[in-house]
Amino acid sequence: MADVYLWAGAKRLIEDESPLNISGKTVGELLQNLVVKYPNLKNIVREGVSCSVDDKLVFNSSTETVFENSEVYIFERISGG
Amino acid sequence: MKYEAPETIDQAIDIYSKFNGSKKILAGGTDVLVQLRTDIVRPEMVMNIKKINSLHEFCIVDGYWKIGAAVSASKITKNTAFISEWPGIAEGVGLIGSTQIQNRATLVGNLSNASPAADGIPALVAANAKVEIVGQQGSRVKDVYSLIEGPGKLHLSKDEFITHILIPLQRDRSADCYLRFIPRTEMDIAVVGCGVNLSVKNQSISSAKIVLGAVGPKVIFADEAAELVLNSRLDKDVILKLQRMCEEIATPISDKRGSIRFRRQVAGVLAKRALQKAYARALEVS
Amino acid sequence: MAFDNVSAKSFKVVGTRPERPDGIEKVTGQARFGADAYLPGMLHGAILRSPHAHAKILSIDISALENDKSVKAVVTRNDFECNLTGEDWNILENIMAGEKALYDGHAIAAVACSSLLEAKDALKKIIVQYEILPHVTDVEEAMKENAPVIREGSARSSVPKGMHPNIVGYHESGHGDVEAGFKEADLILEENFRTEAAHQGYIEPHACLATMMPDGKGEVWCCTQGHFNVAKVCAKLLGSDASQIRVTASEIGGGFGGKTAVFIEPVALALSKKATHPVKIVMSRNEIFRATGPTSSTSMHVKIGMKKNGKITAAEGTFKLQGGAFPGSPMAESAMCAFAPYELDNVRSVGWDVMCNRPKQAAYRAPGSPMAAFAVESIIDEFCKRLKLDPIEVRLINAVTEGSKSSYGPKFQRIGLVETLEAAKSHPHYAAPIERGVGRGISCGFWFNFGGETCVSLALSEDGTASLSVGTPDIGGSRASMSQIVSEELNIPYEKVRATVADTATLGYNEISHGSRVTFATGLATIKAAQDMKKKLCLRAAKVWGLDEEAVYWEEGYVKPAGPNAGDHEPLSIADIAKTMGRTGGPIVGHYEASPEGAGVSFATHIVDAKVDKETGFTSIERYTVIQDAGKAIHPSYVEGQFQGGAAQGIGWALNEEYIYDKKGILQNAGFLDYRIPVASDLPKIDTEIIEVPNPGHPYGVRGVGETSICPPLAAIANAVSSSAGIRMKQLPMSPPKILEAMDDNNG
Ligand SMILES: Cc1cc2nc3c(=O)[nH]c(=O)nc-3n(C[C@H](O)[C@H](O)[C@H](O)COP(=O)(O)OP(=O)(O)OC[C@H]3O[C@@H](n4cnc5c(N)ncnc54)[C@H](O)[C@@H]3O)c2cc1C
Repeated sequence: MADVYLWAGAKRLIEDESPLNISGKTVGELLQNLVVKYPNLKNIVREGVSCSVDDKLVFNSSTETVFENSEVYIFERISGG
Repeated sequence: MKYEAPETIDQAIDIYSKFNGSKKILAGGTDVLVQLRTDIVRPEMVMNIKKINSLHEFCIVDGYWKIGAAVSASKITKNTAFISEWPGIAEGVGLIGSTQIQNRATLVGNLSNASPAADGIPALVAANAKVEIVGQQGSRVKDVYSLIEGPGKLHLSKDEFITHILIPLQRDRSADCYLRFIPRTEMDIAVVGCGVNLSVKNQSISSAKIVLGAVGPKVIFADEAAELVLNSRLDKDVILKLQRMCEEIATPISDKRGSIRFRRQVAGVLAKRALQKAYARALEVS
Repeated sequence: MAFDNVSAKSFKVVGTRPERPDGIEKVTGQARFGADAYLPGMLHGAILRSPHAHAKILSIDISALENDKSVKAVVTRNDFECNLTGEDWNILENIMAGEKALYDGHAIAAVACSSLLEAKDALKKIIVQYEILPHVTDVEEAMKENAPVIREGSARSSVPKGMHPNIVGYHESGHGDVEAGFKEADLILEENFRTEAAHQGYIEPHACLATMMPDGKGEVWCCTQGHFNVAKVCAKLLGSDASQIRVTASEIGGGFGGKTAVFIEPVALALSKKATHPVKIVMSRNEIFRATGPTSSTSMHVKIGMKKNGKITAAEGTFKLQGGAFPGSPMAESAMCAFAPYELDNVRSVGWDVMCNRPKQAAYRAPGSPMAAFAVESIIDEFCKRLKLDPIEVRLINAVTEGSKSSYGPKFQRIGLVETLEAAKSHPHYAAPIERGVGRGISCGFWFNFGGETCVSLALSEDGTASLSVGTPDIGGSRASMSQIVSEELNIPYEKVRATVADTATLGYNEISHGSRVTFATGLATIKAAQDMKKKLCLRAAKVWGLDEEAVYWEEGYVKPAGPNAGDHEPLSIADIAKTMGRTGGPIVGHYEASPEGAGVSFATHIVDAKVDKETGFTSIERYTVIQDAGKAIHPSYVEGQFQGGAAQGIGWALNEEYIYDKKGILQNAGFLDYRIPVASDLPKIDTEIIEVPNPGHPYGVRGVGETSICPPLAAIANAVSSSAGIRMKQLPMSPPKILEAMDDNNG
């Protein structure tokens, strides 16, 4: 189970306090499991999120590996110029 | 669109006066071509006057500097004899656009385009310059100030065009100056312009003309302000009064280039600075 | 042969400054830009644009064009795909209005004629009936209860219920307890800030030449930061297949984010489809200002608490950005970048995305970050003044380092903020005495940088030279730096490598050249492709020698037998292997395709001296120094160019650039005469210092450099100007009228 932290705006949509314990071997799996556990986050995840896995920024890849004790921060998808 | 490029004045008069449709004279084209490309004007005939030799004249004749309508701005800003006599007029011309623009642009074109913000005009008016005009009826001479009707408009009849600018020789112990204000350092349009031409006697100002540009539909003679500085050596209190007076005389509009308040304020500052500079120059030549 | 973890520690070519490969074409005027393409039978397209800020389109009458022989095609919204959703729908709605005109300049219809003049005249004959609606162009006004609604139902799910429909996005991030943090502070400062929209100001206008055959095959030549994206968007908007539309990117005369968006290519294709001739469209500068995207205008509030020693105890900011008549302003980026340079126990950032009757905002270098830095760094500067602290020391006290928790969540990996601050402190500029009347300003800035889909192909020629195909348009010298990388990896001279931006039919999908990603991502792909090629070269040599793969190794441009057991073979150079490759197994090509993650964030510190003429409000920038962490500078001259470019554009944005709307919502300054980007003589010589703190996510340590350089200037210049003018400037641009006004207001 990874420790998952949401940005404050998303945190408001769920009852639980961070960190959330979510399983998943990849970022994609983890996001899927997150939405299953917290259906309120479905739209926000669909609209686009980026994250960091153990402090490495992962903007796009859903196959990035997540470990048992990983710290995952999820934030809104950002784009550059 | 018809294109004409006569080689003599007579041909030019003939072509221009006989053409009844909409028409434009093409000097440097730095205004005309921009207006054509942006669809602001669409004349039926364009007459290039640069092939006419006599319009390239730039010399002293009968007590006047005579500048032909095809003389480029760079020719003016490189003429050391002219610059030392009329540094202010040269400053105005030297501010037009950039090196590339000045290689094409003419002073007559700047005057004829009659933009309220034209950099060539205020110093010409302060110098009491005139223009020579030709048409079907022959030629005539008119002073620059009364030639300008308003934004983009000159008092010329349909068959007339300008052949030369006539600038009187500068008097002794006299000098001129032109300053403009723009938010950048070049390639911009004057928010305020100010031309000053003055003479000194015993270190005091004996005559002065102050002309404000870009703060009204056409240049403004700030005569009341000029009176204030007569017989003065531009002491602090005189300068302050002059500044306030010019702020009042200016009649700017508020637009994207600045508010009324801002333009009045800058008109006062520029008048002050132009006067101080012209005064210092006049003392130097005395 | 493990090439995967090879990282060249000491470089031979990387870090040098070879001549640019596109130099001769550019200085002799022969480089082909967007408008430089011609085809037989080519038509010219022109676009009719709304003269109203907000209006219902009641009817578009094109009957006057039906018998006009000069008109070869007319298109309106009906000629595009009608089942789009999400951002695809937004793009279509933006490039060709549907039921409403949403801003001054919004496209309504387009025509194609044999000449541009005919096309312009044809537009005048189209009769559009509008019902003018109330409009709003100001971000604060647009949030008010009675503001006209741009479009119902545009809000993202993050927006709390009950907000005005123009509020379409909400972001909140941070950690700790800001209220508690403010209680610990010795001094609390808070202030409102505003910035105006600024255009990217690329000198080359958008231009394209498009052909669409009746069978659905399309060809597009255009200037863009991302031709693969152009193909994708065109296919969607025209209901065609992405693979059927081949897009070639021209040379590009500036983009800065603004050419990541698509405007005219689908229109040209639609016209071409109807006319069955190629159609060229070149935007005028007026159209560019009215209908392409500037960055957002903002209204911001920032509150910071500080101890007397300079330590920040809490920070809070609200960033409201209007993004034109569409969702998508970079408010989350503003909120996330605002406090990123500082290690804060208590921080809270809020962002609002707001719609207005203005053109759809587009990315502009580090979207959202510069404005936020302006607000935050202005307050920090004010603290320094009030608490009599040195501006660099205060920033050093609070600066984030490796392991610091960022204001947006994760901890930082290795970063170089402190290094830029230390370099600033010991820079001669900072030590130089400040002349009377001059103000000195400091600011830090932060940007993320990106990876994204990337695919390159590296082909070996028979003469041993290499040809690299990349799919990311060269917007900052990437053909030079990619050639350097190939040269470094293969040990062949820089001049023996040619890098080309390949068209969309040649390579797999490449993400747009944006987010400072090219040197990072395409660079990484190029390193990997070269390593792939080296592996293939080894295999080939082994085959020739009749050895196993393990029995050979690569060293300095040669394949060598590994040890005495492998036999006494003369090492083979790349050229040796290339010469015979047709007979030894065929062409040798290195590939790499991936979506690399691990882009390294970057920081910069800028120092500015400015002097304000207190009588006219005119500001001159007297001295400017950019110090930035590049990770690793592949071609230092290009890196310096990026640093200087960011500063130059920042100077324009800070001092004079702005969108001026009249009461009717019509843009008043849609041209370079009154939209004042700096001219060369407005700028001082911009000094640069490259810091190299390697990015752990890249084999050479590269971070992006294209965007971070525009993050500090607004604040650094504002701090310098405020100091020179003797008042705090809280609004951009700091144009002469605004400075005089602020000084007057200050004097009562
Ligand atoms: C990039 C740029 C920057 C500029 N910067 C400045 C500036 O800083 N300050 C400034 O004042 N102006 C500026 N201008 C405007 C322009 O360059 C000047 O007004 C210039 O002096 C015009 O001269 P021209 O010979 O090019 O005129 P043209 O374009 O040839 O003509 C201008 C007008 O005068 C008419 N005309 C020309 N000759 C005659 C004649 N003999 N008799 C009657 N009518 C005539 C023409 O028909 C036309 O209407 C700038 C223009 C550009 C493109």
